[in-house]
Amino acid sequence: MAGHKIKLQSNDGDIFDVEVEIAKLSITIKTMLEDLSMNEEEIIPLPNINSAIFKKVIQWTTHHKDDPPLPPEDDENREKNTNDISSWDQEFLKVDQGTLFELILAANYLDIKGLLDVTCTSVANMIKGKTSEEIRQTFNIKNDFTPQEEEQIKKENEWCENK
Amino acid sequence: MATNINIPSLFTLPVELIYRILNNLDNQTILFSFGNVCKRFQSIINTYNQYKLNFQSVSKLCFHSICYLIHPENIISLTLSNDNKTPNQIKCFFSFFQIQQFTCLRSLTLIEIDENDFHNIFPFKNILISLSFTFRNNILQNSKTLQLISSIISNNNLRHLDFFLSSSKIDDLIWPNQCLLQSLVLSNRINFIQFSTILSYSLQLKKFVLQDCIIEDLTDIDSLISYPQLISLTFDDSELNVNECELILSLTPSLEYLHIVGGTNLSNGFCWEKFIQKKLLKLNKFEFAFCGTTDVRVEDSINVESLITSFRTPFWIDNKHWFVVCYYFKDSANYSIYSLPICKSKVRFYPHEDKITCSTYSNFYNDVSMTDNVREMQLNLTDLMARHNQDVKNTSASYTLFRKLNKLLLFIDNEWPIGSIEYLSTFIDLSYIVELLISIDFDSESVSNKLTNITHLLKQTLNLHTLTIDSSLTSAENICLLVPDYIKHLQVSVKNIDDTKLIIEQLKHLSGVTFETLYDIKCLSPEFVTWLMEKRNQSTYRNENTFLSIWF
Repeated sequence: MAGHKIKLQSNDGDIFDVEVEIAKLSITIKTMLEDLSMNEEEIIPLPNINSAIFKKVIQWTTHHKDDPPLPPEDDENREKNTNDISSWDQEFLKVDQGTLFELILAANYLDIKGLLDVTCTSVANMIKGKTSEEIRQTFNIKNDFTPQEEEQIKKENEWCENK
Repeated sequence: MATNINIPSLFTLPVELIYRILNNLDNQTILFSFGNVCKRFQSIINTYNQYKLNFQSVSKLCFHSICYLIHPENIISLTLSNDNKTPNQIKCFFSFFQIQQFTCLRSLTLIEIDENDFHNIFPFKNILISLSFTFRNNILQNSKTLQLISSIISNNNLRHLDFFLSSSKIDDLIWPNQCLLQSLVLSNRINFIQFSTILSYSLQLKKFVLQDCIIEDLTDIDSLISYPQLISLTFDDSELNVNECELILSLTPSLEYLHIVGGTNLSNGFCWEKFIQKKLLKLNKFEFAFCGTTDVRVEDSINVESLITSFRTPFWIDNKHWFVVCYYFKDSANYSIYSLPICKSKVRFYPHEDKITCSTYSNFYNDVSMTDNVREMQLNLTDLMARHNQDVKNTSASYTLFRKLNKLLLFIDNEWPIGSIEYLSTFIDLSYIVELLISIDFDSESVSNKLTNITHLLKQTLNLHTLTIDSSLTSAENICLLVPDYIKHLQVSVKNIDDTKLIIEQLKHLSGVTFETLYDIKCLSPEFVTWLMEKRNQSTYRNENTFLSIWF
């Protein structure tokens, strides 16, 4: 049924006509259509996603619609995590942090493994090689350790200073 | 603690999504950076239960810190090594933990384990899915070790096994008559009886990797037997001839992947085409590295081209899309034919000017991915430059680029060849190298020039981790000047105990050092051990066969 469309509604009321094959990259939507016998004419609400983020999700799924299926997430495949992000995805993920974390939440809610993987990898790459203080600064997080706890952490991290 | 709780941020992300991010980070970042950001993250790293710890090449201090912080029940994969970079690590690790504490451990790798430690660990074998081990010096003295290995193999949970035994021991290993292994890597040559036994008793075995299968008598093979469970077979260093190869492969009709390095007279594409069409109908990936010699020396590419004519049929090119490259070495009349991308991980490199290259893949020189499996290269820099200088104009010729080499072994015969580092960088991505061996003679006249050139080379290998200087005449002062602070492990020869001490004192950034001792050090003097513990009190050492390895 290539080209056949369904209607999806974001939490701020916008309705999107999306090709069924693209929408079904979301396991959540696929389940709604198949297991819950939802009519393709019905408007499917997506209460956790606003229209700006949903547009980005559609942009990503459209680009990746012909990707081969990802391997199952078993022990063997988990070992093979790589932090490589394709150049298209890198360009796609040049967004502010708020949007990046909203994309992670949306990918998780919609159950789109490829998008969840690439967004989480992107955040991991932002953390890699940074000290605790640099991570705090990058993600605007307050240090809530007491001076005594800080002292203990410093002791545990002694090897880092001797590197 | 983020400024606004309503805006999604790293701090407000649900814990299961933070776990996903942690899956992409190394342990040191998780434990020593991420976990120390705030109390919530500290709590998260204590409940995160997907730690994959690999203690190869780690400093002793870092090892101690991780052992102190980590909860053993959160570890799913563990690699421990007793090699020269981390001597006695396995014993040290199990002085912190009882193996029974690792309740979620699924994958365990033990490199160069002592036989006694192996016996201490393996009451705990039941929950492992994947196991890999080698024994220190490959010496087994306990008569029960083979029995224990047999019992491990028969374990119901074990699916992936990778091990090495000496050839006499592998022949004595009794394969259990029921095993559920799906993949088996044996870094051994085994005889055909052992090969058949393993496959007869391992009905789930899909992937089998071994050095070679030795067939002593072709009449021993029963043509009626078959091992249809096997879909992937690798011979990493084979001496099989055509008949032996065809007989073995006739027993594995379901193969989808075949990898052969070596072999005798296997480089006829027509024979392979006929055999694959008849016996290996499911084969979709065929990797090989064959070699041979021509009866007469060939001087031009037209004649070299004839060596790969049999790989140019529609079967190879259109049907299977399997392409090959042939390197012909003019001096020796030897040749190598590789499937593409080249599947051999270790190669010896010969001067461009000494060889003729032909390929069935028209884009071979432009497709940089063709050499991505090559990880280790050995080359003689003196020979390379001697040939290169004969025809300087060739510098602009297109060469295959090796962009994923991580280990380079350089041999220099006399003087350091002028311009050689620049030349190396035209076909090797030096920034990717993590392990470098330089074999060189430091005679008194040109020592300064050689040191300058090594320093120049080290400036281009910024990801280097391990450096070996193979020379008997280097002074410890020169070594101290030479080794940059990003080198974590050094192997070098030393003439006396004072040189040993000087290097330990000066190169404080090292996490390990291996001295090839050119003086009598059969038994380390108590004074030296006392001195070492005063200087580097956390260190562990091993003194064996003229090699003194210290882990800081």
